[in-house]
This record gives sequence, structure tokens and C-alpha cells, in this order.
Amino acid sequence: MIVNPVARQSVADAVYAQLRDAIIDDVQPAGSTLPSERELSEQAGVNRQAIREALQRLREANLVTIVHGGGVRVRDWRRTADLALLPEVVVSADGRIRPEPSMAMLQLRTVLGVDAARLAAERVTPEGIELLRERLATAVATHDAVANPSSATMIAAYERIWIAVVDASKNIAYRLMNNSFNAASVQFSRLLPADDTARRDHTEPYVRLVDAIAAHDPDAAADAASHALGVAERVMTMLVSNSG
Amino acid sequence: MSTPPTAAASRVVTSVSRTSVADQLHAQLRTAILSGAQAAGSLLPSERELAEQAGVNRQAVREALQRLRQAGLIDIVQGEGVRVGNWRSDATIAVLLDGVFQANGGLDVDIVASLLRMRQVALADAARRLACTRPDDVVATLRSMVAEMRAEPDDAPSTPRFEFWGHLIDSCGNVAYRLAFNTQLGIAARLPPEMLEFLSAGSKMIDEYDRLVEAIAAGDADAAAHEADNILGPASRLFDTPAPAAS
Repeated sequence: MIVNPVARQSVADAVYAQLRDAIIDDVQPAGSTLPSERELSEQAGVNRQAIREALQRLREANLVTIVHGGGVRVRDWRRTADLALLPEVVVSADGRIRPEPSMAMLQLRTVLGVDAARLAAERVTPEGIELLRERLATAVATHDAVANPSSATMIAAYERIWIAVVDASKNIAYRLMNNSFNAASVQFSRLLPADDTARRDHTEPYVRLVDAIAAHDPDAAADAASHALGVAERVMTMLVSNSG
Repeated sequence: MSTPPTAAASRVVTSVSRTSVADQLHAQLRTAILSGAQAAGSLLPSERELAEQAGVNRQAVREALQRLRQAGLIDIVQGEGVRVGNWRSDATIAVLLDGVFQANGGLDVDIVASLLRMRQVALADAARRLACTRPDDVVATLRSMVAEMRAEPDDAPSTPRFEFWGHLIDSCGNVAYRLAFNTQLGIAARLPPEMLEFLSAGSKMIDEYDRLVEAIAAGDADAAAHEADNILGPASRLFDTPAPAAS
């Protein structure tokens, strides 16, 4: 087989992503009208069904209104879009990291992570504590075992601790936001310097975090979380603003 | 409820968009997955079978499936079919917003509680950050908003004070917080009036609003966060069964 089957959907996805990025980057500003279905289909070299699907997705994301009679008007996404769009605002389809939304997301991540740690200390079960200890041990071992731990490996180990924390917090919004944050972390990790010095010796707040949750101490858990995430926030903010 | 006659009065039905059929099917499948009725790892019926069961055309089924895929609820595996994913680990926040309103018209209390908590935490942090920059014009606008609150008659209906919080959020310039706020507005717009009442708990705490604005004006970040927390706490606690520890 020379080629793999190209799903019809991936064509609609690609059109959606291009239009979405044009809107987020204000290339198609709020109030402007998108080209007609026919024009878009010609420009993109795809059939009109794919264009229609892409436009429906833009509408569902509250990025456009489809006016009766066919026109598609761009909305002010900062006012109309919701959290579901955040990961797409942070990283464009071609992998460009947008600095300002990235920093905004990191701040949100810190504040939600701190509250998740607080809730986890109040609500964690014995099984939850066991899972946290396991994942902490893995993170510490990863950190110690590898002379020059790759950022991606270390980040993944920390992320698994956070998943256990948000699970223990029993706040489903935090759980799903965490999924979005993780997806962005993977993108951000590309920005980390190869020698990874930025993330060295950062297991300490995680040790404190897990201990505090296990001891059902919300204030200590919040403090440790604030430390762990604050470090990440500062490092990433520096890297993202340099990259932009 | 009567509708004034219009030029289009001769129309018997309004057009039913193809999307609304896909919307309904999407909602049904989403509920089945979120409730666990369709377990993670299981296969959904084929497109053809779903179309027959739901009595809709296959294009609507395809749209519904694509939306589930985008939300991280299913994987469409070439040659195998549609597999239900593990939404807790793979889905995005979009699922949650869809899940607030259950198929039977009720609200998912767990989801509402978790979103209200997120609102409280994000807005309190926005207040904290705003206290660090405290632009004069923003303080002036917030002050006049509080003055208007105070001028309201005592029996004025409570409101979620979206205008106040929206201004505060915009002024702190964090787009992630703004999107979180929009999420709240989107949900509130669909809430029945009695539920909006819950979201408005704390709306009569005018003294706290006053202290919040003055803390921002004075650059006292901790006090600003504390007052915001006081105002928004009651609404989150209405739904939150495990009581937060007193501190």
C-alpha cells in the first residue's frame, strides 16, 4: 500500500483549523464576513461538504454566526468562545505557541491546581493516597536515574501526579481542564532547553504536596502546589515570552 | 404566548435544520457515554445501525460522531468501527459543558458544583491580580457599579452581577479567565430562572462588594481575593456536598 486512506473528515478538520486560526489571530476580525462556501471550496481545493462541516464546527465553537441567506459572520471570540477553545487559542494548528494566551493559561492552571490540591487534601481516599505515593516515587526515580532527564519524560511524570491530585479533588471540571493543560504542556516542552536545567531539583515541592494531601492538610497542600506550579509557570512564561 | 403576525405568517413550520437532528443524536450518545451506559472500550453500533435506530439519515449520524470524536469521547478506528474512549482521561472541558444539561432536562449537580468552584477560584484570582495593577479608570467604574447596587431597592431581584465580574475579568487582561467567564455566561443563559437564583447567591453582599473594590483600589491583593471568595463562596457551597474545611 502506497498511501493510507485519507479520511474525509481530516479535510474538514484542516479547513476548520485554518479558519479558526485566522479568526483567533484577527486575520479575520470580529464583524468581518468569511468568503462564500463556493469561494472557500475553491481556495482550499476541497469539496463543499467539507467546507460546510468546517463552518458548522466554527459555529458550534461560537466563532461565527451563519446568517440566514448564507453569509458567515465572524464573532468576537474573546466574548463568545468558551473554555473548550482555550487549547486551540494557546497553540495554532501549525504548532505556533501564542505567548499571551499561553501565559494566561499557565496562570489559570496554577490557581486551579492549587485549589485542586486543597480539595484533594480534604477528600482523598486511602487508595488515592497510595496512587499519589506510587506516582511520586516514579517521578523521583525518573529524576534521579537519568543523568540528563528529557523534559518530556519528567513533565509526563509530573503530569501523572497532577492527574492523581485532580482525581482526588473529585472536581470534574478540574479533571477535564487538566487534560487540556497537559496537552499544552507537551507543546510547551518543545521550548525547554535541551539540558533541562530549568526543571532540575523540582521534585521537592511534589514530595511536600503528596505528604500534605496524605496528611489531610489543605493549607500545606495548597502551599506545595503553589510552589510546584509557580516554578513551572515562571519557567514557561520566560520561555514562551522569549519564543514570541 | 402569541406572536405578532409577520410577513412570514403564511409559513406553517419553520425549517428544521439538519444540524438539530445531529445535535439531538449527539446529545443522546454523549449521555450514554458519560453515564457509563456505553462503557469505555466498547464499540458503538455502526453508522447504518445508528441511523436506523434513530430514524435519521447517515449524514446526521456522521456529524454527531465527528463531534463526539472532537470532544475526545470516541475514537473512529478505520476498519474497526467507533470505539468509546476513556473520557475522564481523554475528553476536554467541552464535554463538561455539554454534560451540565441532562437529557431529561435536569442539571448534573456534580458538574454544576465543580464549575461553580472553578468560577469562585478564578474570579478570586482575577481580583487578586487586578489589585496588583489597579488602573484608576477600572476602580472608578467598579465603584460606580457598587453604588448602583446600593441604590437598588431591598426587594430587587438578585442577579449574578455578571456586568461587575465581566468588567473585573476584562480588566485583568487574562484571556483564559475570560473564556472561563464566558463558559459561565453560556450556562447561565440556559438555566431556568429558579436556578439562576442559585447562581446569584451572594449578590446582596453589597458591603463585601464595596470592600472588594476598595481592596483593589488600595492594592491589597490578599484582601481583594478574600472578599471575592466571600461573595462567590455561598453559591459554590450550595451544591458542594463535602464542606470545605474552615480555615
